[in-house]
Amino acid sequence: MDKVNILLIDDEIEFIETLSERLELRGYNSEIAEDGETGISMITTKDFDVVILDLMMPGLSGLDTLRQIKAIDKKLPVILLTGHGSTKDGMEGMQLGAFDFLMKPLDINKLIEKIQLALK
Amino acid sequence: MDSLSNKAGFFGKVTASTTHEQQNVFAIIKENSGLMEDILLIHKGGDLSDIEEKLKKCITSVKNQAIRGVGVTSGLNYFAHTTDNIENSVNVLELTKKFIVVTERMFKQKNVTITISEPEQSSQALIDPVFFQMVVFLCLECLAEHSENTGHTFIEIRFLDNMPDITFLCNESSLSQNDYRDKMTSSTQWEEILNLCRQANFTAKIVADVLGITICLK
Repeated sequence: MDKVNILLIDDEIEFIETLSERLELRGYNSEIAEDGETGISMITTKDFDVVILDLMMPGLSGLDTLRQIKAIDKKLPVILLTGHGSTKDGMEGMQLGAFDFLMKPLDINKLIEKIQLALK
Repeated sequence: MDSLSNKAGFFGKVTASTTHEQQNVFAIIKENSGLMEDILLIHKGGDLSDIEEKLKKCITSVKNQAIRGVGVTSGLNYFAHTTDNIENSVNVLELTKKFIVVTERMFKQKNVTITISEPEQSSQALIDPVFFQMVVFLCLECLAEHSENTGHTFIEIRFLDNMPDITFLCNESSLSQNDYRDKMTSSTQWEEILNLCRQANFTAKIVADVLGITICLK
């Protein structure tokens, strides 16, 4: 069975490097992008099954990155990460077509659950 | 908007950004802790020498994030305590430096980098530190928003030796100086800066030849 390819987009490099390692230990392929522009560029050249995207990033914001991802591939599931107490950005992301959102710090089991749901 | 609502809104913005950064600190610590657990689980009962480097890397990351977290919390704590006295004899440079540490990430999100040019002799001023920080914040916001830079914006904060004035200079703008000045001075932030300065007994001026604002504290 083909491995699932995940793209992690977040300006906190240590966070996505470590998360990437944990996902790989669980049998997923993962790549990282430290900003929205790099993430968009990777999506146009490689196939990913799910994108994990941080909402608060310098440069191209999480929501603008989401808009561009959806313009490239409407069906690519995007799971948003937010550190905000309020879910306002999360809800705005859902209206823009995000699959779901999770709060930071993450519970990796909840993330895996969302990834599996997104793949169905 | 009244002064109390302005102050509340200001505190909300600054603490929201700082606590968001703190969430990132905890997120990295949590992932590294989880990775160490994963590694130890996989190698249970086996030789741990080949995973020593991986574990050391995780531990270093946790330590560094803890240091980062202490910095964030200390900055936020200092910021919270600036409300302790309505009027205080304040080292203006030190207060500005600590405030920039707390708001750095927020401006980084907007592609703005802030530098401070330190004088040889910094000055004290008898001011309301909360009003001062609000004015600093609005000046930075005003310059950043109206530069219309598509790339990065650099703002320098300058002090003169033994003078309580503070100047904010923007590196460049895609607008002409006159257009930039017109845009800034017709903005709501400029109106708020003038309003706050009136309440705090400061004076705000547009710098004549460059893209900037000077705040005279007395």
